[in-house]
Amino acid sequence: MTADAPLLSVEDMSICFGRPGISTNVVDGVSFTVSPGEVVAVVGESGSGKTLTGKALMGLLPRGAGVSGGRAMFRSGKGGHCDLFRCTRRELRALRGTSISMIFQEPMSALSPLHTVGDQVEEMLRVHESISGSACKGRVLDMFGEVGFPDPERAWRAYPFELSGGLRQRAVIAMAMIANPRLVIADEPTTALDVTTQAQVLDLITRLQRDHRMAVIMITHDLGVVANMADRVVVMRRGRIMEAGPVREVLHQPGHAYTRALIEAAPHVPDTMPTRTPMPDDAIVTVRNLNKTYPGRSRSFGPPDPPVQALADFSLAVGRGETVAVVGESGSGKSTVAKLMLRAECPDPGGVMTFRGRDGVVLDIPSLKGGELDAFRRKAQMVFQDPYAALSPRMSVMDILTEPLLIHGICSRKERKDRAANLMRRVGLAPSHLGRFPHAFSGGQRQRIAIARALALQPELLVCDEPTSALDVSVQAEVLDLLEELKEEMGLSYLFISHDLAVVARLADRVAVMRRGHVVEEGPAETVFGDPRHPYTKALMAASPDPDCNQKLDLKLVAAGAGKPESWPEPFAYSGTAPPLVEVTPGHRVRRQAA
Amino acid sequence: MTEHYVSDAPYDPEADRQVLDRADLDAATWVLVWRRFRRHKLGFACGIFLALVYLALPFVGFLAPYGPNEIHEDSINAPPQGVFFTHAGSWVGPSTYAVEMVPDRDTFTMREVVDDTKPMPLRFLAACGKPHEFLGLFETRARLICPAEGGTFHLLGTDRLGRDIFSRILWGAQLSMTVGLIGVTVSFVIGLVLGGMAGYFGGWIDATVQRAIEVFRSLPELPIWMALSAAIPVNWGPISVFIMISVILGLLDWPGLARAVRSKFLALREEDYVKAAELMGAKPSRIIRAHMMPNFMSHLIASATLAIPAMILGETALSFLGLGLRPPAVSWGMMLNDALNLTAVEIYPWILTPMVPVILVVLAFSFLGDALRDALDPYS
Repeated sequence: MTADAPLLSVEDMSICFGRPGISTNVVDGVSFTVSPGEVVAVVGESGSGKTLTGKALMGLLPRGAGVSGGRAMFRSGKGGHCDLFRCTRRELRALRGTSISMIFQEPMSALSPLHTVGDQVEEMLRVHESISGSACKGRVLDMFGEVGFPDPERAWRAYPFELSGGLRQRAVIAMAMIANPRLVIADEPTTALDVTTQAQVLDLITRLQRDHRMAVIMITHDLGVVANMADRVVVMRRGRIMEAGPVREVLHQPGHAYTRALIEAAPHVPDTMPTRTPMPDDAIVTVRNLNKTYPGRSRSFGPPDPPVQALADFSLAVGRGETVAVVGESGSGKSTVAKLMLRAECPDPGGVMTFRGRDGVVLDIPSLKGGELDAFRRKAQMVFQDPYAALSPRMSVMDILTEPLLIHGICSRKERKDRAANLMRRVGLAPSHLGRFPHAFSGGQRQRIAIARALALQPELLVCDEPTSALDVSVQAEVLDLLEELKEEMGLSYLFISHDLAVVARLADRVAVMRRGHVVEEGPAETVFGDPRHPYTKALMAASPDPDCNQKLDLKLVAAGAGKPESWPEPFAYSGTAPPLVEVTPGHRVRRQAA
Repeated sequence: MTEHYVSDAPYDPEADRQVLDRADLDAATWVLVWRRFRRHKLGFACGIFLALVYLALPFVGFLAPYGPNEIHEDSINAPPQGVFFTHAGSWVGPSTYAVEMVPDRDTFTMREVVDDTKPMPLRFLAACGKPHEFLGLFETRARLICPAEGGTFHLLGTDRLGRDIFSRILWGAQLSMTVGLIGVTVSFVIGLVLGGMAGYFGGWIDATVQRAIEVFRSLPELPIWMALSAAIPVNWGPISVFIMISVILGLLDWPGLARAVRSKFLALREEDYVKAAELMGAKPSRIIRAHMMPNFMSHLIASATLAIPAMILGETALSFLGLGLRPPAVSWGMMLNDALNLTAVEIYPWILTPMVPVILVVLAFSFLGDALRDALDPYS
């Protein structure tokens, strides 16, 4: 770490919405320094003011917000200092891009859809340097090579929508880096990406930072990212700094209760898993050889696109009282599993999917009708991913919680109200909130209400579709705890859909890892986590960053498993038809060529 | 700053769980919408203005100094009459002077001769003129403003038959302002049914409705209006004609609302809370009634508010062309019908004054609609 004068020193910065003095500060008295070539992570949950902090430094605060105090001294090239909050527009323009630049969270909206990637990155150079066209292009192509585009010439000509999410973020990074800034502000640069892509992009940022000796302010909510990237860390909560210091000290000897809570709540795959009881014979849901294809998009001219196979030859059993996790990245077909199991959609003909309730009646889910379907709806419920979208804004919490009872005509008016109050208590909220409307609550509170609604009918099966991925880390841990308690208490069985193996590790009895519509590995949690066989499972596990400075990401494992099935090592690689699932140890099955 | 800084701020996760995250949003949606709407000062003022105008409509007979078809042979094409408060340096209250129209032998027009020797104070809350029906209950001669005994009060002048333009504007508001409401109701019903069917059922119903909308949109509006209004039997009374005109305007306006309903339906169907209701086993009728309706009704009201001005302008255009309402009914468009004659406009420009209320009302509806549309998403 360099001990010389800091590149940027933020002193007592405050940001408020509205006029200073009459409105409360959303960022209050924040101070930190960034030395040249240093990575400082600003970590916090939603509402902590971390993003506003980054935006204020770039002069990009949203309308209505303003810096109400403090200064940010930036050491400019010639040794002079300038205060970023008191720069003229012209001075700021000169700094942006060449001295300070920004990497945005959402690469699709950070790139203009109407210009090629090459044009957009080149513009950065043209604005700041007088440079000839060919030299310009040469530098951009070099940069593209450096950020890991397999074919820089093609990337130059490509439009953003032609690139995958990971490549798009690489283009955004190239754009931020092209003019050799001395400070890069990265605002959650990997949050919108899949886990395996995230690992690769993080590695890229670290490499570039070292090669170019630039300073990085890494804004993130993920302590795992902090542990892997940062030299120093600033923990923020509600606009104030809770703790700041070298990353090792803060993560391994946290001084503040909040930091401790954050570290504790961060999901990670434990080294040893308790051995769970084997799957009971009594399966609540049995799925065998299920397929689901969506018709290809029809075109105005010419034949329609080929159909998309969302789910291929899917088999799974959920035992009573068991939690089965289905894990995969976007496009793996995991949400299709949830939709099919709850009869939100019908599978392709053929295959078996049956539900066996506590009463012993076996229901064939795809062919349910009328009264049988109603009975099934009472026994299987869903918890949605986004608690902000899952509750109707026009209904009070009371209406939301009593609605399932009303639909099925269960119990009297008075009884319904009592049940709603009980449900609220059960999910850890005060019954006095019943008259309120969803928009007054935080994401975690709303997800509790959504869980209460799903439990209102006293179901036997709960399908949770990424129930915590929209929540803050500390809230996520609380909601997972709640789900576990409820399972014990009400004898529930869970189908838990997630993109994150680490989240699943703490509550799954069995895990199925999916990739492009196929299950690639399946088995009891302790074997899948303790002895993963498939390269993709290994990649997922390796890619999930731990909040531990001694366990850095293993990119070799990620690279081996994250690519297309053709690139997997033998005997897992395939092209065209997938090989069958082979049982390697009892109950642990892996998709591979038969030995 | 020390190397490892630890704040002394407390941290209590237990309390966090119970505390309201957005205490500022702790109210029913309509309260939030209302609060936000109030912040749009212009839209709010326009809302009050329109509310006052609609409230005043039943009392026009009391508010207007003359009846709508009262003819004053002595003051044909009289210019607007001034109101004075002082006479010869002393306060007399609001008064008019007597005006006489005399032929001018040089220009061959009527010229006004003001007799400014004797002020004629206006009378307030007095009885004068011909009796009018108050709310259809009883006949009375009570009026808010009366000219002095034997005097006249033509604030905005008179037209070619000597009818008071100010009074006719007030009377005309009754029909001109309600034509929009009836028209929008008609188009609302059609748009809701067809758009809702298209959005909910999809498939061939959607395709048919969509094509029908496109055909309707491609028709040239004015000729169709004219053809339809020309088809109204000549012997119908003014009220029936009025209702038919409103219905015609509504019949031709539904495609816009139907499209709004359809797109809202499609968007709401994908919402998680609608899916959640489906997975709870709710029937389609319940989903539409309890989950979709409350969430899109407000948007439709905003759309409808923005559709009313088009109706008012449509009626004005039709009546201006002489194809809308028929005498003895009065509307702003019919009053402007006099302005078809360019010479008349040049000599008597005050016959154009009915344009002012049209502009005011149309603008007010537009501002109100914009403010409503903005207020309807109060959660940010």
